[in-house]
Amino acid sequence: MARYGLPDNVEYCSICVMSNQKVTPSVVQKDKKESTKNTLIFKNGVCDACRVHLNKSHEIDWLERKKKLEVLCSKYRKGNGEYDCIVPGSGGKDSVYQSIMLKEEFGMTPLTVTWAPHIYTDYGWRNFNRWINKGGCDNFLFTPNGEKHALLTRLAYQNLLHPFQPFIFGQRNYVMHMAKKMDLKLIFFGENPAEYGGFEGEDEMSSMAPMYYIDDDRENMKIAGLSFAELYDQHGISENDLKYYLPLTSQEASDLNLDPRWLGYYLKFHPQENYYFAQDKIGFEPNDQRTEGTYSRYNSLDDKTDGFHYWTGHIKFGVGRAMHEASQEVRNGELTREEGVELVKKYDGEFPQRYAQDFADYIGLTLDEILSIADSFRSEHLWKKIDGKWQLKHGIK
Amino acid sequence: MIKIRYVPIPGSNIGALAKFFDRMSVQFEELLDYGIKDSFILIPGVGNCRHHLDVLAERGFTAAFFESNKLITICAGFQIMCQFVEESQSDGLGLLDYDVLKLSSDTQSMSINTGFKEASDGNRYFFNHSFGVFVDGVERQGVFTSTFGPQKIISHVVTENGLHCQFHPELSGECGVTLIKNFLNIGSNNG
Amino acid sequence: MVRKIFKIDIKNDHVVKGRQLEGVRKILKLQNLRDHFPNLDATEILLVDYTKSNFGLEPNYEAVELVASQFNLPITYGGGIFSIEQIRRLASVGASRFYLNSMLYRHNARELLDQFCAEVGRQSIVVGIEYRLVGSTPVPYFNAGRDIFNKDFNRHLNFVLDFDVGELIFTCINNDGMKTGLDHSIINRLSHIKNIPKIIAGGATDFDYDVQFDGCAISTLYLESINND
Repeated sequence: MARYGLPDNVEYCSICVMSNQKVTPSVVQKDKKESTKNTLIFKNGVCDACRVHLNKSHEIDWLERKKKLEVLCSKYRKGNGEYDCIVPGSGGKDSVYQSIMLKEEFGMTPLTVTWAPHIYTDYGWRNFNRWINKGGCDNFLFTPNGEKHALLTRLAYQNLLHPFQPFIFGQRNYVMHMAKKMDLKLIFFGENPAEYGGFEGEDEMSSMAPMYYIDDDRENMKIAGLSFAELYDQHGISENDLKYYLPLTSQEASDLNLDPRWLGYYLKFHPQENYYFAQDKIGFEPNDQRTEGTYSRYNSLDDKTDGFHYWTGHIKFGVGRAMHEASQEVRNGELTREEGVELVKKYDGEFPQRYAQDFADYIGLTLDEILSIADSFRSEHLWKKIDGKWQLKHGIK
Repeated sequence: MIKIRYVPIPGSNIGALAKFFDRMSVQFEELLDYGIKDSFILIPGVGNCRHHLDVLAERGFTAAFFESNKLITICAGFQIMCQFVEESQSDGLGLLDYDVLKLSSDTQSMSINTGFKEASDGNRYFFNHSFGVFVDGVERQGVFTSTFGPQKIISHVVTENGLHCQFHPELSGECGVTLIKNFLNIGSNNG
Repeated sequence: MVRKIFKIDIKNDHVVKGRQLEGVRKILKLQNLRDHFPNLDATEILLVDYTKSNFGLEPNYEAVELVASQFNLPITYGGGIFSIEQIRRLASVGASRFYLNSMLYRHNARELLDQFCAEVGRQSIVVGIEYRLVGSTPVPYFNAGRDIFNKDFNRHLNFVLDFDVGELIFTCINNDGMKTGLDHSIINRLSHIKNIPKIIAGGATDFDYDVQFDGCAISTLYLESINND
C-alpha cells in the first residue's frame, strides 16, 4: 500500500525519465507527515512536465510573451534609479539571469532579496558576492535566527523528513514581507514549479497563485509539522519569531496589491544557458566536484544541506536529484532518454556524504539517527531490503 | 580501378586507411585470397611489432609471400619488414636490410616521435612511433630520412615494388595523399 | 615546433562546448565540420566525449567515423574507453590514438594498459591529466572534472608515469572554455618529464603562442569562428 497517497504502480515517463511518484509543489503550511500528496500527472505514458515543455517549445509565441513582459515592466518602471521590482534569489545561475535580464534588457531597477541558505558552501558564498558585486543590483540578505532555524530544520526532518520545509517558507514568503517594507508591488520569481507538475492550468499562469503566499488560517497552519501552539509550548518558538516565514494575510496582500510573477512565463528558461549567462556576466563558479546525487556541477550549489533535501525526496518518493536534472535536460535536448536513464541509475539517491557531518551538526542529530529516521519514512510499495540494503522495487529502465 | 588489399591486424587504424583510400577512389579491402596478384598489399601501422608478427604467423603470411607482391607498409608494418626488431626482440621478415631500435631508453631524452616532421623529400608527414631505423650514414637510393633529436631516422623507403613508411601517409594531410597517389601511379604502370 | 591540436568536445553527433568541463552547449553538427574548417591549420584532432565515461556508455564510434571521413589527420579519441575491444573498434572506424583518464581509476588499470600497449603500441596511448587549480595547487580529477582522483598532484603524476604511456595531455579545468590563457604554471611541476611529449590544454587565447610544451590543444578559439558566422 503506497504512503502519502502516491500511486500504487510506479511508472516512468516515456520521453524524460521522471517517475509518477514525483510530488508537485504543495502549500507548505498545510504539510503533515502522512498528508496526501499531489503527484505528477501522466497521460498515455507521458508526464505533464513533458507536455508543458512540448507546449513551450511549439505552441508559445515567445516574442509575444516578451512584448507582454515589456508592457508589464512599463507599468512599474520608475526609470530614476529607484527600485521598481523585487527579485528573490541566492546568486545561483537563475537569479543572476533574472536580475540582470530585467535590468539590462528591460530597464528595470530590481532590488534583490535573499533568504540565507542554512550553511553557505564556499563557492556558493563566492557566487553570492559576485552576484552583488558584479551583477549591478542592490541586495538584502536576511539570515533568520540561526538557533531557531536549525531547530525548525531538525523538527521538519524528524516530523516530515523534509528538512528544507522551513527554508521554503522563508524563500517563498520573505520576499513578500520585503515587498511590503519597501512598498514594491512587482515581484519576479523564476520558473513556475508547476511547469514540472502542478494543478491543472497552473503552468499557464503568469502570476503566482495566491494560495502559496496568502493564508489567513493561522490556527491550522503548521511549520515542520507543528502548529504555532505546539511550537511555542514545546520549543519556545512564537508566532512572532516566525514573522518572516509566514504567508501574508489576505488583508496585507490586499493592502499591498502585490503582483508576483513568473519570469519563466515571459522568457523561455534554459537552465544550462543560464549557467553560461551567469559565467559571462559575473564569472559564476560551478561546484568544484560533482554535486552528490547527480552528475552536474552548476545547479543549486549554495547550501551544504541541499543534498539532504533531494536525498530525503528520494527516500519518500523514489525521486532524487539526478532524476530531476536528467528529466529537465532530456526535455531541453541536452540528453537522450537513454543517457538520462544511465545517469539516474548511476547517481540518483546517492547519499550526500560530503556535507553529511555538517548537516548532522547543524540539526543536532547523529548520522545514525538521521539514517534511522529516514528509514521510517520509506513506503513499502517503493522499497525492499536485500542483503541489508535498501533497493527500489521498480528502478528505472 | 586500383585495388589495395590489407592484412587485417586488430587494433591497427584500418578505419582511417579505409576513408583515406575511399577519398582517392582506390578499392580497399581485406586480404582474403593469397593467390590473387592484381592488387597492392598493405600492412597497416598503429601497433606493436610483436603483435603484428604474431598475427602474420597465425595467418600464415611469410616473407616470401610479401616479397612476391607490390607492397605498402606503414609504421609497425614497415618495421616488421626489417631484419631485427628490438621491440619484439626478434627477427622481422628481413625484406629490408635494417634493424629497428628503440628511439631512446634514456629518461632524459625524448623516446617517442610524435607529430608532423619534415622528411628529406621536402614534405611533412605525421610520425608516431617509439622505435625506428637510424640512418647509418650510407647513402642509398630511394631512402628518405627525417630527424629525431640530433639523429637521422629513415622516414620512408621507395623500392621498385614497395613503399615503406615509418610515418602515416593516411594521417599526413595533402602530403600523404600526394605520396600515395604518386606511388600508386608508378606502381600500377610497372605492375 | 609546437604541435597544434584541434580539441573537439563532442556529444553524440554534435560538437559541443561547455565551460570548465561543465555543460554541453551544441555548436555544430559533426557532419558539417569540414565545411566550417576547409583549411584547418591544426595538424591533429583530439576528439573527447566527456559524457561517455560520465554516463557509463560506450565510446562514440559514430563521431570518430564522421570526423575521420572528413579529415586526413590523426585522430585521438577519448571518452568511455575501458576495454581492448573498444580500442579495436575505435581503430576500425578511424581513430589512431586513444585518450584515457577515468580508466586509470579502475582497479585493473595496469592490466588494461598493458593490454592496450601490447596491441596498439605505447605511442598510441595518451593519458589525460585534468586538474583544477585550487589557489596555485593543481588537483587532478577524473569523470570529466567531477571526481577527485588524488589530492596530491605529484603523487598522481608519478602514478601515471609508472604506466609508461606515449603522451600526456594536461587540461586546466578552471581555464577550459574560458579563454583566460593557458596555465603555464603547471610546467614547473613537469620539468623532470623529458622522454614523452607533453601537451597543454585549457584556455588558449591566441593561435600564436610560445609554450614550453610539445603541443597545445585548442578548442574555443577554433569554435568561436562558428559562432561568429
